[in-house]
Amino acid sequence: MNRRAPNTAQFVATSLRQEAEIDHDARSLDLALVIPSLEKYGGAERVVIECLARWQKRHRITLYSAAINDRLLEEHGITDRVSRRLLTPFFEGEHALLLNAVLLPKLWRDEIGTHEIYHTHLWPTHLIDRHPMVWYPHEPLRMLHDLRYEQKYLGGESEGSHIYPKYDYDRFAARLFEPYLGAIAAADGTVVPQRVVANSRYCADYLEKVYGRKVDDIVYPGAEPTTPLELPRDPNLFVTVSQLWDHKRIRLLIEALALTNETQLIVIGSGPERDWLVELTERLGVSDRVFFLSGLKNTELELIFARASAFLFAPIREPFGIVVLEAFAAGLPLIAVNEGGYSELCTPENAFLVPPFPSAFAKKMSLFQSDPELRDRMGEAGRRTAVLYTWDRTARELEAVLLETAPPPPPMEPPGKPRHTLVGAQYYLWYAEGYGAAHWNDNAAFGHVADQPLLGYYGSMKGETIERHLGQFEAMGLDYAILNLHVDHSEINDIEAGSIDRLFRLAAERGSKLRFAVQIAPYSDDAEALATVVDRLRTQYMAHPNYLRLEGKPALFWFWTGAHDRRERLLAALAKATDGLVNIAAGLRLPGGAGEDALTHRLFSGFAPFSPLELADSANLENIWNLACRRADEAGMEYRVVSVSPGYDDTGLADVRRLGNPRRAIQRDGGETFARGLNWIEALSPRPDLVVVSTFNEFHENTHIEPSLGHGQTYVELTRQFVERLRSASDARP
Amino acid sequence: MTDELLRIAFGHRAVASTEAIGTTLAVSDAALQADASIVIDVYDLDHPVHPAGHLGWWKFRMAAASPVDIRLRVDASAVEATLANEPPTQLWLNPAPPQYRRLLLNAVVRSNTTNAILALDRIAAVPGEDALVEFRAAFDRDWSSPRLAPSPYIPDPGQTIHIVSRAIFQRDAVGELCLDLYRMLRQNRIPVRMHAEGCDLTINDIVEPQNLLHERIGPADQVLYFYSQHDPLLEPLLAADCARKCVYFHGITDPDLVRVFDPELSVVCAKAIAELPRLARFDRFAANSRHSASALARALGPERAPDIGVIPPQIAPRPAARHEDSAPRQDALLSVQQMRPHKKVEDVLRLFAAYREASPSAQCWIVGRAPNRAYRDYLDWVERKELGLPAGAVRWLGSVGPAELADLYRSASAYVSMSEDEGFCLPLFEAMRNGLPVFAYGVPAVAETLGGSGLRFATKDFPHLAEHLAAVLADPARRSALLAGQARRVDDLLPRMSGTGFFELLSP
Repeated sequence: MNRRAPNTAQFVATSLRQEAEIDHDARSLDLALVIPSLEKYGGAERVVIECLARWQKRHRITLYSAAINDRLLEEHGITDRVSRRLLTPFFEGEHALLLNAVLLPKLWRDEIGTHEIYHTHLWPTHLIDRHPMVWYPHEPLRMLHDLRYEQKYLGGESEGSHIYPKYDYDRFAARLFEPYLGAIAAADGTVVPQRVVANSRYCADYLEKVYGRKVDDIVYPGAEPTTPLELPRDPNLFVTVSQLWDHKRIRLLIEALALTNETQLIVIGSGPERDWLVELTERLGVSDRVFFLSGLKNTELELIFARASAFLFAPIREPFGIVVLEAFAAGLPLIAVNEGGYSELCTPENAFLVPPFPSAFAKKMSLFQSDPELRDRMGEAGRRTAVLYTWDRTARELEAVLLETAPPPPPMEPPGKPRHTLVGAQYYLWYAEGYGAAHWNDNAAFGHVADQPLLGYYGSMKGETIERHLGQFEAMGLDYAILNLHVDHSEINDIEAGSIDRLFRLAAERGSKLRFAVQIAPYSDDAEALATVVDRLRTQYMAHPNYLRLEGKPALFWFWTGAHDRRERLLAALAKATDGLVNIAAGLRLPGGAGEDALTHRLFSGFAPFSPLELADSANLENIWNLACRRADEAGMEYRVVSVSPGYDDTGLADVRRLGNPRRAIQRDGGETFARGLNWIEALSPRPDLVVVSTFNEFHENTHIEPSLGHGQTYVELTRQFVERLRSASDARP
Repeated sequence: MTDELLRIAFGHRAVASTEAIGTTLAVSDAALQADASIVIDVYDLDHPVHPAGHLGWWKFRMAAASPVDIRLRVDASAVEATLANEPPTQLWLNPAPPQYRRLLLNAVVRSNTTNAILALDRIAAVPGEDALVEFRAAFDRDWSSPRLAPSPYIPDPGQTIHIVSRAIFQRDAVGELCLDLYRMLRQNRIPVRMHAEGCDLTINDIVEPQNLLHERIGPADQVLYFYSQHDPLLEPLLAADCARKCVYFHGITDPDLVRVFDPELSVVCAKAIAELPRLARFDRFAANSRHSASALARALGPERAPDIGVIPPQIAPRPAARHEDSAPRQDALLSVQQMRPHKKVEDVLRLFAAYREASPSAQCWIVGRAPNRAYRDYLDWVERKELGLPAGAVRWLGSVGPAELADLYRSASAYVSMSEDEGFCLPLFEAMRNGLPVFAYGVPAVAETLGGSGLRFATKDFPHLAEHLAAVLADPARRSALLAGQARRVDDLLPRMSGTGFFELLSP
C-alpha cells in the first residue's frame, strides 16, 4: 500500500476505500505495541497515544515501554483495557549509548510476551526481533547517517549524542564515537521487520536508502481539528515548538528574530540546549524578545497558537514534524526550512519554505508583520490542509497495515471437546545442575532424592536437558506437559521460570507439536501477586503456538492443596485474573461434589487428584478414583480429568508436616501399580478429556516415570503403550 | 563598575511640541566608545505599538561627543530627523502613518553587530506649553495634601532618602506606595529623591533614572528599595556607598501564572526568585505581608527571618477611618486590579456568568488598567465567545480616579477576587473599608489580609460559588454579620497603615 500526501479528492476516495477494506468487526488482534518511552509528548508518543485511544476497543493490546506516564494515557481516554508492561530502563553511564542501542532491545525481547503481532515504534525497537512485526521507526538512527557529523562537541575530548527518547546527551570520549557507530550499524540491519511504515515519503526514501528495501507503507501523523480561539493575532509574535537539540536549529530562529524589528519568539519545548540558547539571546541582545516555555497545558498552547502570527520551524531534515500540522490546525501559517517530511503538506498557499538562513526567515517574518491579510489567508489555507490529516485517518491506515500483516487466524477448533483423550505429564523444571544443587538432595526436608535419572543430576534450565525431555515426551506420544511454577510470598521460582521460557523457545525451534500448560503452585495468598503471575503468563506464553488450549482457551493448572478453599476474596480475584482461561485443579483433596461451589466458587473447569495413590488403601483405589470422577461430575466440571501415578514414596523427606500422612509409600510392584491406573482409565466411560501422568520427574516423592537408574525405561515404555492403545481405541470409535 | 554603564538621556524630560522638536542627548563615555548607533524611534504616545502606532525610526552614526543636538520635524508632509546636524544612515517610515495627538520619543543605543538595545531613554512630546501643563497635572504636586503621618524624629543633617524601584507608575500598588512615601517625607521636610528604570512619563521630572543613582547618592544617605521583580541594577545598588540600605519586599508573582500572556514578565519574575538571596546584603528588611515576609525569609536564611518587619503597602491619609455602609447598592459584582494574567479576571467573568443565572439583570464592574493587550483580548473572547455575555453586562471601567473608585466600592453589591497570586491585595482592604462584602479565592496573602473576615473559597466551582454568593447577598442577617467581621478587620489594619512603619524602618 503506497500512501502519498493526497489532495482533498484523493483523500476522500482513499478514506472511503479503506473503510470498505477494513471490516473492523472482523478481526481482533492480540497486539504488542512497543515504544521505548511513553513519558512525555513527542511525535512518536503522540502517534501511539492517538492510535491506542482508537484501537483499544477493537484489539487486545499490551503496551510495552521502559517508562509509561499513566496520566498521559488517561488524558486521552485510554483505559486499563490496554495492558501495560514496563521494560528494562535505559542504561546510564559508561557506554550507555552502545548498550541502549544494541543490548537493550535484546533485553526487551525477552520481556515481551508472545503475541499475534508486534507493532514497534522508534529506533531500535525493530531489534527486539519478535515477529510478525510492523515497525514505525519515525526516522532511522540519524546519528549513523545524515547527522553523523552533527554531534555535539562538549569541550575537551568529549562529545555528546543521544538516542531518542532520552532527554540529555550521553557523554563519551570522542575517539569512541566512530567505533560505537560501527557496532551499532552492524546490529542495525540484522532484523528485518515484515512491514516498515514511514511517516512521510521523505522518510520512506530515507529508510529505503538505509535499509536497502522498498518502503511502500506511508502513514502520515495527524492533528486534532480544533475550535479556533478567535483572538486577535499579534503581528509581532512568532512561535515554534521543538525539543531543544542542536539539530533543531533554534539558533537559526533566534538569529532571524534579531534581524527583525519588534518581533517576539516563544520557543516551546525543553532539552539540553536550553541554557546555551538563553545565553545566545543575551549575547544577541534579544533576551527580552525570546521566551522559552515548557510543560505547557493544552489550553496554554492553544492560547499561544491563537495569538501568534506564524509558526517557525527550522530543523535539519525533520522526518515529519507533527507540530507543523498542529500549527496548521490552529490557523497558523508556516515559515520553515525547505527540507523534511512536513514539506509534503506545504503549498505556496499555506507556507513559506525557505533555505536555512536567518535572513530568509527574517524576511518572511517581516512580511507577515506588515501584511496581516496575507498572514490570515495563508493561515486559513493551513487549516484546510490540516483537516485532511486527522488522527482518525492515521489510526485507520496504520490499523490496516497491522491487519494485513497479522498471520491468518488459527483455524477455528471444532466445537465441543477434543476428539481424543489428551495425555500429559506433570513436568518439574526446578532442578539445578549437579548433585547437592537445588532439588538434588539439597536439603533433608524437601530435597531428598533416592533414585537418579539416566541423564544424571541434570539442570532443568539446560537446553540439552529440555531437548532430551521433549524427545522423551514425543517418543511417548504425549499430547502435553504440565509445567509446574512455584509461587510463594517472596517470588516465583527463578529456575522454573527460566526453564519454562527456554522450553517454549526450544519447542518452537524444533517444530514440536507438543503443548504445554503452566501449573501454578500458589504458596502465596496474595491475590495481587498471583494475578500478576497470571497476567505475565498470559502475556508471555498463552499466545504461544505450543501453549495448551482447550476449545480455544488457554489451560491453566493449579496445584490445589485446599488451603485456599472458601477464601472468597482470593477466589474472586483469581476468577477475575483468569477470565478467559480454563482453570484445572490438581488437588490434594477429592473434588467436593455438589459442595465444590462453596469451596472454590466455580473457579475450576476440571478437577483431578494430584496424587491418586495416596487417597486410599490398595484395595479401594479404583473405588476412590471412581468417587473422584463422580464428584467432579457432580460439581459440574466441564472437563473430565484423571490422573495416574507409577507409585509413591516420600519417606525420605524429613518435612514434619508429612509425618502424619497415612500412606507415604505405595509400592510400584514392577509396574503393576501404574498399569492398574492405566487400565482403570482405559475402561472409563465416558472417556476422560485429559489424562495426567503424575509425574514425569518428581523424584522427591518417587512418582517419576522418567528413565532412571532405579527403573530404567519401564515407565516411559508403559506410557507409550498406553497412549498407543488409547489412540487405537479412539480411532476405532465411530 | 557603574562607570561602565552605557547610558543615553534626553536633555529635556518632555517637549512642548509635536512638530519641531529640538533637544539634546547626553551619551555616556562607554556608549560613545561602543560599536553602536543611535536610533531615534517615534510612536504615537497613546498607542505605542509596531507597526500600527509607529511613525518611523532614524539610525545615526554614534555621536563624536556628548551632549549632541537632536532635531525632528514632524508634520503631515514630512518627517525628518538629524543628529548633530547629520542625516540618518538608515531610516524606516511607516507607509501608513498613524493619527496621533502626542508622541513618544525613544532614543536607543543599538549594537552595530547584533542590533541589540544597549541603552534607552524615553520622553513625551506634547502639542504646546498648555498641553505640557496638562500632561504634568496627571500627578498632584501639592505636597501638603493629603495630610500624612508626621515624622517622629528629626533626620540627620545632609541625609537624603532615596526611594528606588524598578518601576514607579501611578495606580499601581508599588508605584502608589513610592509616591505616597515621597509625599509623606516631603511633608516632613525630609530630603527625598525617587529613582526608577521605568515610570509614567508624566512624572519623569520627579523620578530620576535608576542608572544615575550612583551619581546622586552620598555617604550619609539612606536607600529604601522596593523589590518585586528582577533588577539588573541591583548589584550597583548594593555596591553604592551610603549610610544604610533598607529593602521593602512586595512578593514575586509566580512566573508560570503569567508565562502565556506575558512571557517577558514571567522571565523577570523567574530571575527575581533566583536573585532573592542577594537581598541579604541589605541592612533592614520589611515586607507587605507575613506571607511575603515568609517567602523572603526562606530566601535569606533563618538568621534573617526575625529581622523582617511587616508593613501594609499603603499610607492612609489622616484621619483614617472606615466608611459607613449607607448608599443604596446595585446588583453588581466589582473587581479591581491591573489586568494581569495571574489576577484571573476570566474567572471573575465565569463566576459572574454563573451568578447571572439566578440574577439576570446583574452587572459586573471591572476596574483597572489593561497593560497587556494579549490578556485583554483573551478576556474579551471569554466574555463574548466562551460565556456569551450580553453587551453591557460587563462594564470595563479601565483605570479610574480615587473618587470614582470610592463610588464604585460604595455602589456595588459584592467584591470578587479570583487572583491566584498576591502579596497583600489592597482592593480587598478598600472593599472592606467601604462596607462591600468580599468573596475571594483564598490564596495565602488574601487569607491574611481578610484576617478571617469576608468569604473565602478554595475551589473555583462557579455554579456552586454563584449559589452561595446569591444566598449571602439575599440574607440580610448573614450579610450584616459578614460586614461586621470585615469592619473589625479594617479597624485592625488601619492603624498599621499610618505610615509610621516606614518611619520606623528609616529611623536613625
